[in-house]
Amino acid sequence: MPLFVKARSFLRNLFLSRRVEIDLDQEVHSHLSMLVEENTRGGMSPKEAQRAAWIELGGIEQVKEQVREQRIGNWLHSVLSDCRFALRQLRKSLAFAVTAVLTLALGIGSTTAIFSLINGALLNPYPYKNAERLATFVVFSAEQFRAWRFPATAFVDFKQQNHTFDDMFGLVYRKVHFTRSNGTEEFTAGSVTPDTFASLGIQPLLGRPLTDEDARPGAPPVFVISFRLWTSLFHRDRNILGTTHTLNATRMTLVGVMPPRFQIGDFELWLPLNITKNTFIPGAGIQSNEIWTVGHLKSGVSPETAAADLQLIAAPFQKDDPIYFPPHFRIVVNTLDSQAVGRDFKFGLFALMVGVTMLLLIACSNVANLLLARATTREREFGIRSALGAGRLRLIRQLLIESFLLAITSCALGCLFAYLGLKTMVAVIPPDTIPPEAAIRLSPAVLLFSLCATIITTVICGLVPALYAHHANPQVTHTSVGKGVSADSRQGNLRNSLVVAEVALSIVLSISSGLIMRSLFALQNVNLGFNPSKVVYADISLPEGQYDTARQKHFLFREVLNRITRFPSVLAATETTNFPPYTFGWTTVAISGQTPPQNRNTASIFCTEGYFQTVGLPLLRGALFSQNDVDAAHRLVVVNHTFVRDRFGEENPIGRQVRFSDYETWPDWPRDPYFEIVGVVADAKNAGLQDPPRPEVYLPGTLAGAPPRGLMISTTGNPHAILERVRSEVSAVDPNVAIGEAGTIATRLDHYYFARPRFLLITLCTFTAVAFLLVAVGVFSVISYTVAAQTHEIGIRIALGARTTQILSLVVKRGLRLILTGILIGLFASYFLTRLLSSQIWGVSTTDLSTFATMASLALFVGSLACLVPARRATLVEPIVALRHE
Amino acid sequence: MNSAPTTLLQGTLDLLILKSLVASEIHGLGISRRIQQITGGTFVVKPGSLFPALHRMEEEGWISSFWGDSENNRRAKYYRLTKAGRKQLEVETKRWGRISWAIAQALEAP
Repeated sequence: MPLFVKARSFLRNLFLSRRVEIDLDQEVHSHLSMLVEENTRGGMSPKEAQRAAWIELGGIEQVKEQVREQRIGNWLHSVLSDCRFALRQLRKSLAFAVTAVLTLALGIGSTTAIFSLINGALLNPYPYKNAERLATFVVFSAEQFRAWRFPATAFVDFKQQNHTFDDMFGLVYRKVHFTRSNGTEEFTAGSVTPDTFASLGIQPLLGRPLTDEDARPGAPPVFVISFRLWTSLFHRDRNILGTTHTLNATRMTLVGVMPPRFQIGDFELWLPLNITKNTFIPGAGIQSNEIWTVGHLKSGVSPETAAADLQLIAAPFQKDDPIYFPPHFRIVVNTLDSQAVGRDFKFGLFALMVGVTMLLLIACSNVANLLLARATTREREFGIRSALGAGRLRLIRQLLIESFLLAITSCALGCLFAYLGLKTMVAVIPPDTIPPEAAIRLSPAVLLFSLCATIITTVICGLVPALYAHHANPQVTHTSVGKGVSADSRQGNLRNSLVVAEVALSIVLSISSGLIMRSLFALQNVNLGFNPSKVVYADISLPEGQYDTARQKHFLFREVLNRITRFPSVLAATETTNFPPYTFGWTTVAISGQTPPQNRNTASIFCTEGYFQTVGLPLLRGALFSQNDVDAAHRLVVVNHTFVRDRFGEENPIGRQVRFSDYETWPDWPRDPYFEIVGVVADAKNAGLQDPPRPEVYLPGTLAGAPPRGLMISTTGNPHAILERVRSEVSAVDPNVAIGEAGTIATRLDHYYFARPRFLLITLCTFTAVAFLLVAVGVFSVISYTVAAQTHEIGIRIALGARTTQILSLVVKRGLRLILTGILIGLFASYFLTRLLSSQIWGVSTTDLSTFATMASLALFVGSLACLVPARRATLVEPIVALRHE
Repeated sequence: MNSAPTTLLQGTLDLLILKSLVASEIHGLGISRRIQQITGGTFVVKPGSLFPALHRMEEEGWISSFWGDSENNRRAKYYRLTKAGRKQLEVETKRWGRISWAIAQALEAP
């Protein structure tokens, strides 16, 4: 009960303070009048009675104050009044408050944003049950230096015989043709063992997961789709459950929709799979029978222990299946968490984290300096207050409350910055760098983090001036005259070195972003020989069984090409096995009369006669192959300039015979293996944007059926309209043929080549901007402090006849010395540090002089500007005021 | 805030206030006079100590207050003992008994 009474009193004191006060006032007054009455009754004159009563009471206000001090929650009242006072103080110097809040908000915001990214992508990328124990394993051969998955027989043994996994499920990658009324689309699907869903512990958003029943032979075919597919294909229609669809020419029933973060395998849909020793999943290529195995490690089991366990099980496989289990193979187990993000990106994230923590610290020290400069000008105020009896603790609390108010406001603003920053970052994160399951957002953990950052900020920012105020002895403040900059040189050194560090950091950041910017421009200006935004490409995905031979494929492509080239906006179109700027097929080319080379260094493209016109390749010598050559599968070859230079030198290559020994194992390869070189074309990028072109050969696509292929169309019109027409034409020729990845070459370049440097650029530019802002605030606060502390000295100088320019240079010189030191250190550090970026920089030297010079002058400019404001203030010092001030 | 001797005095004041309220509910001045009377004039409680003590004890829940009319028809704030207050009086009385016994023992020691 007493607790209840106390709580009630506390609340009443807090919320009904007016009534409590009125009550107290009435009580004291009634007491006074009763005292007067008592005294009159005792025989005193009214005047005397009044006087005696006053004496006994001892002052109405004092009594009231004594009562107030006893009240529950009195501390809260005084804190609130301190808050009100602090707010008034901050409002009085709005410029200071805005600068401080912005600086801190940038620090807190950027740390929070990067921490969210790390939290979402590295610490908790997966939403699955016990995700930290999820692990996968591969067969690794040091001799072949590669790692791969394994077939069903091994999976069954691993699953049954292991002692280190709680559960184990298998996923098989496959392409699925989804045929609908308006054509066929290709999706990546996973055939998965039904226990996958239970093991991952995620319930479907709609319907049910796949069950063991579904995987039994003869069970009605069913499938489950991802949230992504539900959105893009079905527009989140809740009524699609139970509908049947044509997948790979089979009618299948849709039984479930998974929630957004269920993205195991990055698949669009999941099909049931029952893995037995004899499981063979029909489909093109060996890849569709390699099983990706995932499971929960038993609690406390390390990946290494699990690997040793699995190695024992796998040992006998070497005899039966030496292709998958070569001599000296090793089983390597990795947790999913450890593989969520590539090593480069992980390193980048941690580097960013270090960077933003430094930014936050610098922001704190800047604000501490600002507060210090203010404290110096407020010395008189503190002196008077402590003379009036304010205790040191009370003064320190006052200052801490001021900085806490600043920090809380900054925290709120910082969270807003973090939110906006995250949105931007998620939008520009390069593709395939974070797992699709990862959710990058401001989570409770992140908000807690930023709150901690705020508290640390408060302590750092508030404590320095508070400790300074602690020294504000009223007597010293009023009597000391000669306090100048030299009085606290130790603190001064710390402040100065912080400014130097800020300038140096901004130089390193700005030079890095300058270099990245220049390499991005260089990449974007690489001449491909054609306009990449006007060339459309489309991967063609063919249904199984119908298009296995070169002739069947060619029949389809020729028909589609004929239809497409009829459009007026189409300049040229071709069938091709490769899209610029990277060629995936590398082969050995033997020239008759020369010793054959050992390495596969020549790029090869199977195409039709329209290829050269489509990508704007000029003919240098000889002739190109004609439509007739392609249709008749003549053994002709066109080579590029580099091929001629490397293999023939000054000789004439036209008419020479070459053979492709790598392709001679293909069943449909011509029996006479010799090809004739008919033409030489100019070089085009075939090893990526950065590397110079390598030797390349162009062959008629009708020569071999094996390589998968697509279409490429050069247009003068809207590329998206063309793509739509290509889709409808392909579907008109054969509704079972699907278009896979498609777009313009420009989108392809963007995805593979520009996304990464652009992400780096945006991140670095943001931090560069923040760094420059911090430099400005840092220089400004330190110089302001110096000026404030030197007011007296400056006043004397002016009184003795110093000119404005002399005062100006006195102040500016001091700032410039700091800035120049910082710039020199920054340039020196950049010279070494930019080498770390060398893998990301292309087309510009990592020690590019103009970038270094530009950024140094930019820092100098920003720094000088920040010096000028307080310097100008110094010239406005009125000598009389400055001297009377003491 | 307060040093040790005042804590003792404060405890004493609490005890005296509680004791003065046992018989009837009275206002501040009445309490002050009652204490003066029952201690034979040894303790004179000034408003500066009385009111803070009354308000503190009210917040502790030992006494409760209400506005009433005084003997001379003046509005005055009256205080009465609560159940918790009676318990507290017992506790304080025992404690005081122990202290005074201990002090007496100490003074009698050679």
